[in-house]
Amino acid sequence: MPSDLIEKLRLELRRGSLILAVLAELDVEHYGYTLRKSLAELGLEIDEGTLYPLLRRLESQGLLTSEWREEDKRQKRFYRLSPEGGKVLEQLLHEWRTLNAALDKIV
Amino acid sequence: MAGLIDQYLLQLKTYLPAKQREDIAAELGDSILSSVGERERELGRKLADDELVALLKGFGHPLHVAGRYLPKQYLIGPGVFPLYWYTLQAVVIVVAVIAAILGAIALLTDARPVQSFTQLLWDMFGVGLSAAAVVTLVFAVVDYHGFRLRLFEDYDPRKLDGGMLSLRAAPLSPIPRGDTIFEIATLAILFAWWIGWIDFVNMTGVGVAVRFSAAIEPFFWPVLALCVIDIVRLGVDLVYAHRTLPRTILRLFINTAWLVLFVLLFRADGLIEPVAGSLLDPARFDPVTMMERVFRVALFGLGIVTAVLIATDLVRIARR
Repeated sequence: MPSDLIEKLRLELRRGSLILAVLAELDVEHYGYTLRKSLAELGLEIDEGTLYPLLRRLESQGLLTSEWREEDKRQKRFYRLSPEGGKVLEQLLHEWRTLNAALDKIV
Repeated sequence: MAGLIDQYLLQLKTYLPAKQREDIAAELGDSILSSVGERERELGRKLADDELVALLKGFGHPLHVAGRYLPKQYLIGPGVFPLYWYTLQAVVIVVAVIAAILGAIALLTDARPVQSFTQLLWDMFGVGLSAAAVVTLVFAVVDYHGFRLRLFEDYDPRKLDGGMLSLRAAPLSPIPRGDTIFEIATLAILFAWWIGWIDFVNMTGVGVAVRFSAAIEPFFWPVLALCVIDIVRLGVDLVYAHRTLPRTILRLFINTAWLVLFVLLFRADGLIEPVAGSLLDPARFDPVTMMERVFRVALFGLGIVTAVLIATDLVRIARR
């Protein structure tokens, strides 16, 4: 099996999961750097080039809110799940659990 | 150190959309500084230039990073791309088949065959390119404006077999018997006309007698032979109404032969002549010229239809 194919499939598999993880983690307010660290500590590595554009996309879709605030003498952009994002997250989690249960039976 | 980071962010900003430029650069700048700060805490010292360079490399090239913030752009979106690609292939194949046949005829019949052939290939390349551009433009407009394609929305699952759009479908797609009967009837009329059972004389409908001239003679046996072969082939299709590879290839060859004949007939002069003593005053009405024109228009139409059938068969064969 060619490694680039595996990489492509792996990325496809990860793409949807990342959205779910980011939404779930932003139940608590984070700025980009701490969000990335937090996800990494939980076992989900995500590079900046993926995370920041994803945050902007989710915000433009109304699933996140953000604000610039000063912390440690630097301006940082803090993200948090919006009420709409909360509803979407609930539905996605339900979907995820259903899928996971089915996969557990399959594999 | 700050110089390197500023330079990186400046580069990044040049590739970002103006509205988001400062915002994105500020956020990413903070992320870079946070990473630097953490690394320096781990090491207990300031980062060396090489280490900072390695860290910035980890963020990716500014052009690449900026690209991730831009909306995905494409001319033909995934919603219509398969149909676009299919149409494009069909157009290119039709043009290629016409070019090949016209080229072969040019080589066989022209006084300066190589020059004519080269010119023809160049012309057909232009035609192919223009056709592809038009197809692309049409699909780009359809995609951009989000036109709903009735083809996809109103389709009947029971009718997915047969037809141009199902060429990718099952290898043994059915051949509608109605089509086959129509083709047999058409060929039978052509056959009867060709061998004289139906008289060509007086077909102008105004009592003026015209007929094929001697110039038609070289075409007599080839047309007759093709009629017979094609009717036999269609007879087989009528009984076994599913496409098979050998019969598809046979149809391809037969249609190619038809197309060659149509083109040669189209290029021939003086195929129709008046029956002696029956011609009206040519100043008022010239039945010979009129019938020649009708004949050529019919040949042109037949040529196009045949080229499309050849292209269809080529795609079918290629898909196997």
